[in-house]
Amino acid sequence: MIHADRLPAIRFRAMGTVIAAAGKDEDIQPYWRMPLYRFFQSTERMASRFLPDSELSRFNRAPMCHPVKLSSRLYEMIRLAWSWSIRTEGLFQPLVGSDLCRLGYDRSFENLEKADPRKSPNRADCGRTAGRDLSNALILDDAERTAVRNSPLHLDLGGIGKGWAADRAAGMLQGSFHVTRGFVDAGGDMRVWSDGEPWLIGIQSPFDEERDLLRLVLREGAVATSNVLHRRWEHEGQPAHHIIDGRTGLPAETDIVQATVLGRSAAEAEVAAKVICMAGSGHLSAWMKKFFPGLGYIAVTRSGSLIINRRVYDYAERLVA
Amino acid sequence: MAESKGMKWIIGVSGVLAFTGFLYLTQKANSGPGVMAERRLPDPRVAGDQSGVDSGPAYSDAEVFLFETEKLERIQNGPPARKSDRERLLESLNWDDDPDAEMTVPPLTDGIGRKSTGSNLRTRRS
Repeated sequence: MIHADRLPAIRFRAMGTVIAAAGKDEDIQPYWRMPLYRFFQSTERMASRFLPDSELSRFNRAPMCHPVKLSSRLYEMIRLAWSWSIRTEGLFQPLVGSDLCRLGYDRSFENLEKADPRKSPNRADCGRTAGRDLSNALILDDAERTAVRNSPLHLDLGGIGKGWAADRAAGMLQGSFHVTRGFVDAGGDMRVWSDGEPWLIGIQSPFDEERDLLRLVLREGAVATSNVLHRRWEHEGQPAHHIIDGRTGLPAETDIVQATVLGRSAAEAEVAAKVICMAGSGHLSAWMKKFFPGLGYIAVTRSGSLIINRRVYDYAERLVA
Repeated sequence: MAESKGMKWIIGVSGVLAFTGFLYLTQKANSGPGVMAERRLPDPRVAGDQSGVDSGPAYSDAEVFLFETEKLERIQNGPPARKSDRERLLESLNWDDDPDAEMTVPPLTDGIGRKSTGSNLRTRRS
């Protein structure tokens, strides 16, 4: 007999992060755990740019200007990423794999931490450099499910891939396994739902991971957090991080160090959280209204101030501060 | 000579019987109603996935466990007076006419925020 406040759960490493999920369903056995585990592992094998045999790595190595037939899952993920690149006028850019690689982020982050920071990556493996007009860099054909890369730059689907996977996994748990209360957390990209008591979600402080800045009371929705202080490393004597401004190909440097976004889709919230880190407090409100109308956000500045919009209350029943 | 021939016959016949038995058992397991469900769902005994029972590592590197949700009654049913000034300040945002209204809240005076209990669900830095 399961106590009402104790839900079957699973935790494992995949996609370069820790994946966690919990759920309550009608079955005595939580059958959803193994399919969920397999889904994330197979998604990593398909879409990791760090695995040379992944479908994404093969696509990145394929000759330019030639259509490449893709699996339906990878095509869907690339299509989603590219559509957000267009909608955000290139601020969010999936073709930053080469930029990240040249900055030294050429292996999974846990391996990067062990690597010698003075050693430069093999630049030949990063793809050639290119101009920043990337408006026609990818041509997608929905009917044929093919993609043509018109740029030497490589794709990186690390962030949006986790959001996409969290959305898909949440749909699978609710649709196929009738999980009526649960969450899927893919390294900061989270989906929660509940037919009863809401979830209490702590917003982790960017300055002290043991502390919460405030807590959200949320029954259903997506929450994604991006942070420029976490995935940081040193490259050729300079600090670098993983949130790349699509317009420059360089790490975003603004007064915002962390952004948490609330919405319906984890993938959309993930993209918005990245864009907030590029916007800084100066552009924050205007860019969110323009690119992500309807989403709630909680941004943390370097000084520790919180910038919050009213839309947060469209998703959260309460902010406990 | 005759003894050796007999031994070979016994070994041969037992081999055929064992193989036939194996085929029979495997065919039986893969036929009949509910096959799709059985194939779709993993065998919990093999996976070690027992609901409500913390059965330890089940899928090679995965940890299965029971997630303890935090009790919300205390904060949900608490009187408004229990809300901090900071929380009431944030709530005032919800009464703004402009749906895109924004508020900047200064850093906490102690600068550190609420200590996490470690058991609740938390955002992580991706």
